[in-house]
Amino acid sequence: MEAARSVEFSVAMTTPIDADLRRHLDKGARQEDLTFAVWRPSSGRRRTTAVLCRLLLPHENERVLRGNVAFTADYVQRALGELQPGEGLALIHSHLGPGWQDMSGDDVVAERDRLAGAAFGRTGLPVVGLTSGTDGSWSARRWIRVAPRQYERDDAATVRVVGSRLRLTFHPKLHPAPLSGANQVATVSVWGDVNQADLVRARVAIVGLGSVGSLVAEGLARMGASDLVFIDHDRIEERNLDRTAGARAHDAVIKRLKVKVADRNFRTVATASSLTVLQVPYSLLTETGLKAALDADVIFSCVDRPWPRHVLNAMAYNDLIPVIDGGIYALVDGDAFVHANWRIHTVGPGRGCLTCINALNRDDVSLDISGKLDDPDYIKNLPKEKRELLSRRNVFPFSMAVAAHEILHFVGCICGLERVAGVGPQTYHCYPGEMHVNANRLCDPDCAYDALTARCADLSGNLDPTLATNHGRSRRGRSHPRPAGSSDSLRQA
Amino acid sequence: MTNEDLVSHLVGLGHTVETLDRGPQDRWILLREYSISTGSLAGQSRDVAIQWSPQIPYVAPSAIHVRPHVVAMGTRNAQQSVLGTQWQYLSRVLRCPPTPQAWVVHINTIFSEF
Repeated sequence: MEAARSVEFSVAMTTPIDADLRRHLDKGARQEDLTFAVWRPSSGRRRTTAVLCRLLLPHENERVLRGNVAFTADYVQRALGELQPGEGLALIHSHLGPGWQDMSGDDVVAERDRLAGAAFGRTGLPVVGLTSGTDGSWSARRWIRVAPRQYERDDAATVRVVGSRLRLTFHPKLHPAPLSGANQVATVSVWGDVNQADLVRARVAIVGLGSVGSLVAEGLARMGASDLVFIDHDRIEERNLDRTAGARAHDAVIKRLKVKVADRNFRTVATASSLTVLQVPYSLLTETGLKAALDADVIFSCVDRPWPRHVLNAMAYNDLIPVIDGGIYALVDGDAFVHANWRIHTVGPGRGCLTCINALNRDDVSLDISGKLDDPDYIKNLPKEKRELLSRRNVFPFSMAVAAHEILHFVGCICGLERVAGVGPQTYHCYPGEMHVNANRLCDPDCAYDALTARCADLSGNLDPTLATNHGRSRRGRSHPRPAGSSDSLRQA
Repeated sequence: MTNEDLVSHLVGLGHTVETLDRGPQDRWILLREYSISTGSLAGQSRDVAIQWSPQIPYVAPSAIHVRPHVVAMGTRNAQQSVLGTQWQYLSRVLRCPPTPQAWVVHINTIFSEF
């Protein structure tokens, strides 16, 4: 953990933790305050996130309030004693100004000289410091051990507060607000410079670059998104050409990776002046795919299989990464089209999960894991409605509708604009042509996904073990290719 | 629920429960001589194996494995088991939120079919 400055650092917390902190820290315009808190590591490929999981608020006489604030040695000892294995210590204090906060000399002494060694010695993890601004902003850093009794500051690139809204504070030097150009004037005119700056700096992973995912990628590119992760092991085939944005006939001939097609299309239409796009030609159900997804601020779930959607549903709560998901159901009787509807929803802390909003059945997850959903005999014996659900019929206009609403959910999630995204999971019925909203649907009290909130449990057991050993083919014959060429490395441009 | 919750619930009910480790991601919960209370097999007993689910949150495996066989292979969704020829794979999905109590009902329901 003390390693890698090459690994980006971020801090995340839920909205209730943020609210509790604000209540505790707000002592008016002339008094700072502090508290200790517990964090757990969520480790992606390029980013480690310290996820705050509980507060250790000070007891009477455990800190000294004199305009500024200091903690007592007894408080440090109590806080360290309350940590469980795998948990780290965070010191959180308030400043009396707005925006990302720099550190005073006293702040540095408190975190580096009084805490870093004690915390590292007790936990093997760096101490994390957070500072609140008066406008709701957070700033954060960790203290990395570089030599015995020597610790260096590593600033967080972002701090994320995750609830029904995802509120991001960006480090002003590591992630400065980009200037929007003439090619984004119309977009900015709708939701303004501040929202646009947050939207385009958020790191977005798209899992599945098929019909919906390829369109989401194009939509985000035109809006100005600049930091993307494309995750898909699959390759373009002829049957994909009628519903994959940016795909060409030649791509099907050479079976080009979908992530490469998405990358090419993204760059062709992007309006951002600087792009970071990571191609991950692996299944989400591999360690590489999972780690790449854990680097994201928001994930678009554009896969239709229950197993990866179960993994994404778990990640949304476990690692505090909102997941925007959709699904299309088209019913055909023989050659006659009967009906279609589609759903769009965002899941994560503060929202109902995929199972609680009836968008994912856990028994389907079980069937997918067992391989039954690839067994034609099994499918043949299912009731017709279930067969239709699993048939994944789709046409490009349906995907366009779902992709458009998923992007609106993204805008609403980052900017807190319910008037763009609506107030909850949506279902569109083609006939008679109505959008139904299930407002403010939360998880059931005993929901197993919601119970994972901020736990940072190791989800590697959720992966497909057959993909870890065969480098290319699943036991069910689905293609899970390695990247083109022989390297295992990912592609970043 | 967790695998441990299931083991502890079954032990609490008085069953003889073992865990069988056959390698990475190949762990099983084994109930010895599970007494069948309903159906044509009532009064008999079978060993029952449930694969240890590595999923978080818990996802119930879509089958139980029984020894000795309860039905002719290839009928009633009974197939060969990875545990060996003495065992039989009964493909039955637990179609409710997984809890230890639901598992016990599920096992009894499966046996009551025969």
